[in-house]
Amino acid sequence: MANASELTAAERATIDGMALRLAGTTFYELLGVASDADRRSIRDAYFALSKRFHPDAYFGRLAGPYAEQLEHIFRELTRAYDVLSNKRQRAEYDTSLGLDPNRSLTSYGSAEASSPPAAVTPETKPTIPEKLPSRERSILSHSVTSGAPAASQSTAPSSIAHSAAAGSSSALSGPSSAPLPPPKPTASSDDLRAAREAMARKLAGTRTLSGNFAALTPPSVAPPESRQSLESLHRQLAQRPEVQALARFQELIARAEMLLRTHEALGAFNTIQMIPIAELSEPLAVKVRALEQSALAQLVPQNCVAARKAETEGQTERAAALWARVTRAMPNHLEAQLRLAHTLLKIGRDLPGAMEAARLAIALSPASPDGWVVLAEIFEAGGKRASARGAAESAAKLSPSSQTVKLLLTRLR
Amino acid sequence: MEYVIGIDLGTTNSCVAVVQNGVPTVLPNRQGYKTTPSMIAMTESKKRLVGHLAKRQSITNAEFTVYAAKRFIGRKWNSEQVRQIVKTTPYRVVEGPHGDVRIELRDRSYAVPEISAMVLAEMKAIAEEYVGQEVQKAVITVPAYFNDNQRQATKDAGTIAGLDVIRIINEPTAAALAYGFGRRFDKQIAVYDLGGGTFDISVLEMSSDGVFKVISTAGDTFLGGEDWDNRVIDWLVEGFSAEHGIDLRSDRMALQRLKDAAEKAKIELSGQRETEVNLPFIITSGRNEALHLQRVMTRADFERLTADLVQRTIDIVSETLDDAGIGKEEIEDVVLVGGMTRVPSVERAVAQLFGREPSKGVHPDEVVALGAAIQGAALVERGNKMILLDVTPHTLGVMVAGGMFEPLIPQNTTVPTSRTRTFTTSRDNQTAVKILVMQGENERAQDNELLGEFILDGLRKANAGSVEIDVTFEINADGIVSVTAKDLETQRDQTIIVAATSGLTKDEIRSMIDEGRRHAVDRKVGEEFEARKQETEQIIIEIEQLFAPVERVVGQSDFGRDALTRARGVVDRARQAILAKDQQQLKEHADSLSRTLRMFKGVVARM
Repeated sequence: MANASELTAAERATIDGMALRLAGTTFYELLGVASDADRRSIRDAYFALSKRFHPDAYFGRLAGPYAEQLEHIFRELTRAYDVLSNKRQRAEYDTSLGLDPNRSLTSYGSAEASSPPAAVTPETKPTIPEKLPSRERSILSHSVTSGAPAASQSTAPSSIAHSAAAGSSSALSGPSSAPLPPPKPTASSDDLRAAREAMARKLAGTRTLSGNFAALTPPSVAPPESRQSLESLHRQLAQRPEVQALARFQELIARAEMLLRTHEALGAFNTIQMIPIAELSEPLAVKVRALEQSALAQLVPQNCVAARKAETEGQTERAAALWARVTRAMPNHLEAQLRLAHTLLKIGRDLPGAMEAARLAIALSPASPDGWVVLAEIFEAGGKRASARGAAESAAKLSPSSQTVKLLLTRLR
Repeated sequence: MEYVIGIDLGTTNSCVAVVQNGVPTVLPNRQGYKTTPSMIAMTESKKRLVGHLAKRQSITNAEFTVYAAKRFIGRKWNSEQVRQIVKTTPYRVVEGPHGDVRIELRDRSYAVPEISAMVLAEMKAIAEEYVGQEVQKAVITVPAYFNDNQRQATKDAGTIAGLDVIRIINEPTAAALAYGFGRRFDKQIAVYDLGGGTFDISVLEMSSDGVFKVISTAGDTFLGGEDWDNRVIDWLVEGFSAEHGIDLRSDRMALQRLKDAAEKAKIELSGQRETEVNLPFIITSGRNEALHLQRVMTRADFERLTADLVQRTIDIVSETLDDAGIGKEEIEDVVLVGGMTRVPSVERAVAQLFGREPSKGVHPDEVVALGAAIQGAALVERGNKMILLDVTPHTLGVMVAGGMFEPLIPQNTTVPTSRTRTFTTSRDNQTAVKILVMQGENERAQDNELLGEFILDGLRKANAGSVEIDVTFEINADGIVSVTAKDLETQRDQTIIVAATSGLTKDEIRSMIDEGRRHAVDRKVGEEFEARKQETEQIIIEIEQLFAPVERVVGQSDFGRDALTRARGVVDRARQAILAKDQQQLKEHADSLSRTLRMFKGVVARM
């Protein structure tokens, strides 16, 4: 009786677009309210979103992935509302945002309170995905990323509460680092592009990797020269009216295809990042993902080099993002999986993702203790000491003499 | 267009509504009443009666008339509550094959959902008659405090009645939907629902754009009008016993008459200060003399006898508000639902508690069915105008070592929802864990309702506490609970969809559906036969009246005598078909009867 195909393309795009917003946003952003919003406006925002994203809004027409996606969206909205509508929990949550120096968003809240930018109208009900008041805000932090690569490590929004499944991992937080330069007050077209990139990547991450990778937002890696041409292209494109969006996307797709053919994989990849996959029809989205996949495949060697370099330079987040790209193109790349697990562990924000990578590494090379070691450390970081011990013991069986393993075991015992 | 009916399946009365052209309407039954007694009966001739027909004969057929079956639905035979009510029911209640409750009628024993299905089938028929087409989809309401087993049993009852139950919703929530329907309210309200058998309190927040969010809900599934009635019965029985030394409870028929009289007295005392209970020939004494029961009850008597019951509801309300962290002054309106809220002492207590007069805008008997119909229409219609954000009324969790209950999803959590928690093994070298999924508010697991269980095996042999398992509970929008246990080391996992049980197996339900369908056909055939029978009897009477004049005219000729003999044969055969209740035969004879009548009329006319 229920038939997923009954959802229109627009409805699917709405759901996909909202699913994109879940990762890496604060509860305030998720509900589309200012961080100093009063209880009533928070309620109104939650109610308005519930009306659109409660599974009952699509009663009898949902099946498979969309049913799950919608339930997931609604659960997240409710979680955000539950926390923000409870005085004590909201205070705790605010503190957790404020305490984390990675968070540029707290300062945003206060900046916004004093002089709200024109684009941000938290009082009006958010209409997604046509216009996202909160999108611009999250965008700003991304634009900082692309503008100042040295500080990139600290910019991706952490998803402290999002990755928490009411379990022990809720206590995790990102690494501390230097404070950010003050954010720009309004969103430029450049910011929009960066946001779209980030979103498209998040979406791709959700699809190809196991779920939680979506929480990771890798910084942009576009080199300045290719960026310049792309930016001019983007400015040119941005002047056209919204109705021509599809033609624009097709233009971008064609461009990406051309770049791929001429082995300019990086250019192709960056072009693809400008396409908001969620707004595309399914066949077109499939095509874009396939293009992205082949671009990533061509980029494997150079991403590996860049990732190793980033790691030695201490840019762990950038390294993780790059390793994630390598694994997306080549899931059986042992080094990439191991390094990905390792870097994710170091960032400490996406432990399930790290765990998944570690397990893949173990599966790829069952005789090596390395995967087990990382897995043990991941368990340890997640507070699951018993499981950590189990993994360490597995490592010890494979390599009884290894000093690292011995140390690990002693620590865990 | 496809209709979704809303059914309020009440303890004492049921009600059905539908949204037609955007207007929610309560549908009257054949007798013209908007509510139908939730009663069914089996007559001596094994005829099934439902509603008013059942109620009308309940005194003379007390043993085979079932009322308040809702009190048993989804409950286990050995539960304390069942033990209690069995004491006061005139009909026979026995243990079923799965530890469930069965009710014995003349031909066999019936599962409780089967009894409820008979009422639901009646409501379905009422709706079909009204809208003039077959109705399949329904939203049925249950007390907010019903657990999953009770909800499932209600759903099964719907299935047996031939309904596709698209949603089970809570009665107070339905009432709130009806209260807010078509009005642009933006407030926090409380719904106080005191029905025939259950009490519920719910606090909701409603917004002007059509979102209804349940904030908190609580109640007692064993507190309702029946308890008020029983207090009156007790008072009458004790008074009678003091006077005559006879316990009226020992007589089923007397008990049924007392029950009726108590309910009547209660209703009368809502409007007047005193009432007389007068039951002549209630019982025969040991010396074979007829005894009568005659006693005056004042409203003060009644309120004194039931004061603690009213207080129990008020205590639950206060507790619920406290738990939700809502002050009484934050409640902007109080909606009263259920016939019991007409009792002045109840209304007074509610008004006193909230410091405001309750809303009079809704009809307490009809509002729940209306709300169910509104929700049904909102679900199937595109362009949703209304969304209901409901909560889970009971805490869900698992049993952990030491027989304790570990909650995962607390009560009053908005659904759909999911929660995960990590557990470890409790014994050395334990290779399997049994996950017992439970529902309830008690710390000790055994005091809660068991919803399902499954085993996760293949765990690594290790010391106790060194294997970790993530247990995830998920409730989807339809209220279906699924539980997944995952071994973090091996990534092995096991999932069950927790199927609450009504105490019936799938096969049993299937055969009950078949029987229900057969009965529906039987009933239809029965009605047709009845109509044809009356028609035929009318023709026979007319023919018989014409025999004498016809004989005078044609009796002399051989042809005439032959015609008269044949006419007698036709009438006799038709009579036999009526006696044999053979519809097919009757149909065949109807033509020859009409021909005979036409012929006779022709003969007489020529005279």
